[in-house]
Amino acid sequence: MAKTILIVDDSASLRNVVAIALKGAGYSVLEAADGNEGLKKLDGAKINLIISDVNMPNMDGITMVKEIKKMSSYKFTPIIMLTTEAGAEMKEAGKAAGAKAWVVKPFKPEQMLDAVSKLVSP
Amino acid sequence: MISSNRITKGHGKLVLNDELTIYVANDFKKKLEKYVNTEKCQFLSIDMSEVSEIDTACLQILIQLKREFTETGRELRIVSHSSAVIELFELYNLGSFFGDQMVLAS
Amino acid sequence: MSDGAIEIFIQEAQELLENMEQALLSMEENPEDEDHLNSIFRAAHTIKGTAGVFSFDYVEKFTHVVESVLDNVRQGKLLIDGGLIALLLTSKDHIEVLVDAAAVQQQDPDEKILDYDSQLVSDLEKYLKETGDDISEKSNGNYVLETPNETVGNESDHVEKVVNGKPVASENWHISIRFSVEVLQHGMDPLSFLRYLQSFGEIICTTTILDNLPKYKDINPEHCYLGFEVEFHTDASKEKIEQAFEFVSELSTLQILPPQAKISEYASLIESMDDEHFKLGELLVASGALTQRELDEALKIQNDILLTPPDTDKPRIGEVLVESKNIPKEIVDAAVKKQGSAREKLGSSSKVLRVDADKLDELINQVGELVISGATTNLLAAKIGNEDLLETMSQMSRLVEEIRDSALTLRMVQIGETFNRFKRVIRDVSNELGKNIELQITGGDTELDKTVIEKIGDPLMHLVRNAMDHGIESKEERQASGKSATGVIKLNAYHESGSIVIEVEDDGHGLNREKILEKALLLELISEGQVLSDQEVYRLVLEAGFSTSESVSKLSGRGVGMDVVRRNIEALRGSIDIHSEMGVGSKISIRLPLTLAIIDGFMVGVGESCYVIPLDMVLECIEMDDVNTNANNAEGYLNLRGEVLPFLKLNEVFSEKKLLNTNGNIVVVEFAGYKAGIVVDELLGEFQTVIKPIGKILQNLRGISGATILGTGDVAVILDIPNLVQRMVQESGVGNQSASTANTINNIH
Repeated sequence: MAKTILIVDDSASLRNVVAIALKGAGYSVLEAADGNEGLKKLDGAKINLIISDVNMPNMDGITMVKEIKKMSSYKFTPIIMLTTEAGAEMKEAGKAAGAKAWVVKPFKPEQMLDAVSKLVSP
Repeated sequence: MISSNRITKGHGKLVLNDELTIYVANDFKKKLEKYVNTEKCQFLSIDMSEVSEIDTACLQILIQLKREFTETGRELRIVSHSSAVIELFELYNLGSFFGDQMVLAS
Repeated sequence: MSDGAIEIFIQEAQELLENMEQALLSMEENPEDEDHLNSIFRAAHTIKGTAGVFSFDYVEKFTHVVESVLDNVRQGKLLIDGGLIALLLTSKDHIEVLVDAAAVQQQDPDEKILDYDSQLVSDLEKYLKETGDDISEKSNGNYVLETPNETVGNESDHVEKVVNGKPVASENWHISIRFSVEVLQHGMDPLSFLRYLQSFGEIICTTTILDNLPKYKDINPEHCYLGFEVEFHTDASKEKIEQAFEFVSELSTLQILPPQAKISEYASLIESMDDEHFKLGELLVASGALTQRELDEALKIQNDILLTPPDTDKPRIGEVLVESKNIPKEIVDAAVKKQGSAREKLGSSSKVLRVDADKLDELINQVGELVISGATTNLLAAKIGNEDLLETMSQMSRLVEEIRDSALTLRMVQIGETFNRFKRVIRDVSNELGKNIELQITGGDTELDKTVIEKIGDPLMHLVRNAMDHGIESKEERQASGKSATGVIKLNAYHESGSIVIEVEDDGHGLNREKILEKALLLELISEGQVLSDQEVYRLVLEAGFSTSESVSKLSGRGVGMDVVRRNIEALRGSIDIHSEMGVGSKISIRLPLTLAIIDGFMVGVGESCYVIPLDMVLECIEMDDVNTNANNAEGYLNLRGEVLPFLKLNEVFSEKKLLNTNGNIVVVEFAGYKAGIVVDELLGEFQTVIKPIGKILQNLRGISGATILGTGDVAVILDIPNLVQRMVQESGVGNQSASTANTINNIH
């Protein structure tokens, strides 16, 4: 069964580009525009990896990660955080929240695919 | 995770299924604990043909169980492997460690 | 990059810029409003991030500066005022222009725009300087287009290596990794990193280190206790390998030794893995990373530290080649060969017309219709009885049949291409196995249905791999038994009486009758003392779970395969024959129908409808009266010359009316070794027909595999015998076959 990946980012086109690359490699993809929606998408689904932006309206990525780490069925699911701030602060906060994998924006779709396949093969 | 888990007349029979991942690892370890250092079970056969997914967390538990069987002169055999199990065994090169013939359940 | 995604980007950017403008205008009235500030920042942030993904460098670079200014405002380092808002508004307009140039016109902005760009940037930077944030430096560092530094890194590696220490002989990288206990909890499973390594190289050997795995009762199931020593073959750089582990870089100890690393490097590896000291050395020898001599040397180096002077080794051949910039002969050869084959292809393609497969299928379908309406006209002509009409009709029927036949040949494809794929497989695998194997192809121009060709690839692959792995002996063995060192695998295809035969032949040691019998007894496929012909014995290897190979091999020796091969072939309505001679070799022949579109059927009548049973599954037909039967009672068996068979009544299965004027007949069918009876009203005889696929609605209906249209215009249903037999066997519980065959049947559905 294809592995499912959830992309949480407020940019529809970024989600779109990443989704195309991931689907092309054989993953299933779900999308959410912010942390709230992301948490809703997790409910009842089986998701093998989460890609999330940090800066988003409604609920930001770090708050979402903290929530995910409390969920019994997702606490061990790998999370890749996206960041444009090369700022170490954000990264530290994210790591403390439990997101150990980071990809720096801007990235090429194939870089994202590469990062994903290090954690979950399709 | 486990569809059958019985000891009859010294023979343990364990049938594993579905997902063996870190999410069930605690439970998995607890349910298999009865095989550790027990005279009651001299031979344990494990059927893994229905395992759809297995990760390092659950594999470690099986590895250690196998080691403790071997140390106490008892026998643990994996009688049937699913493709997910075979893939992991090949990746980790554990075929000879377990020493079972890998027959893909078709 | 898809245009669709770019369109979404443009639309999204426009929306964001509009929001930005609205928010900026609101801020003019209410500079303290944080919500507005956040949405302005987010707009810049999102556009920048997304533009980067699309490689719209100018957009990204400029937006980055805007974002930095906004970030400072957000952090309170910078006060927003009318002047800044005005600048941000013009910046917003400028972003719009840049997006337009990049995304809509797909070109770099012209000079005028770029001049304006740098002017705006310098205006924005004035604000940044107030805060002490020197963006110009930052942006230079961050946004120069990436240059891969792999080659640079590699070269310095080289130099160092040559200067310092003697290289080991291994051509492989050695990766040594120990994970911290928490990796699993972060969703980072070592297995995914190993899988990832396989995406750019070959894992030669993995050794899983269990030293840190505690007693069962002490295991924390959510902790990781494993370590790995991996022999890895790749052309990629050290950076690439390191990056495979980037997400666990803080959660693991990683050491990577390049191919032909200095022995002293291995020495320090062994040193660093202190507790596994001795074992690790042994292990490196076992996995081929070091030879015993190299290990001894490494341990010696470790002992008398710093006593070894820098080595003055000769440069390796690779370096000589690189330095003199000679192009390797193989590359030249390969290039020449490639040109040659391209020319060949060009020459043959002028006679070939490419046609969409769907169009062909449509044509065949239409011809099928033509056959049917031809038959109808024939019936009418017979009714009218006009001599002349009948004569022209029979002539037309013949033509229509010819058209049908030639239409079917259009679907025919030569098997040569499928055969040729194995050249590569044989080359690669024989290297891997250390055997010399030659592939001989004959009958490559034999044609068969394209659907069959598509489905035959995998079974053939199994057979060829089996032959390479188990059939052909090692060089030494071959020479010892007086054969040439090079083994031969032959692929052959030919037509024979309406079927196509494909043969896979090897000149290896043949099947071992005794071993097969032994194994079959073990699997309870046969009973003690049963007498079997050679053919019957060889057929046993087609059973599920059957493998006589003592050692499990990477290629084929898991007993996977032969039963799968048999099932695939049977699904194509084909059969397998095995010939073998000890010490001489074996030959496996696959017999397949020429086409899947036409079926030789046996037509039966039930109630008022007609049904078709594939002829090759029909064993015999008997009248109901002839059989000592309890077929009419509820138990559902019949007794055929002492054999107990399950049976079913088609009129009950398909709710047809029972004809009263007949006792009924039984058609005995066989599938996968199972026999069963099918009770019908009438036997109507043989019938060659074009199979029409059934629609989506009926596709899930069990017991039906297709349909055909009769001359009368009526529809006849083609029965799915495998499915019906399975159903009968399950319901009645009658089984005279081994469990594994039952398995086979189950697995087809």
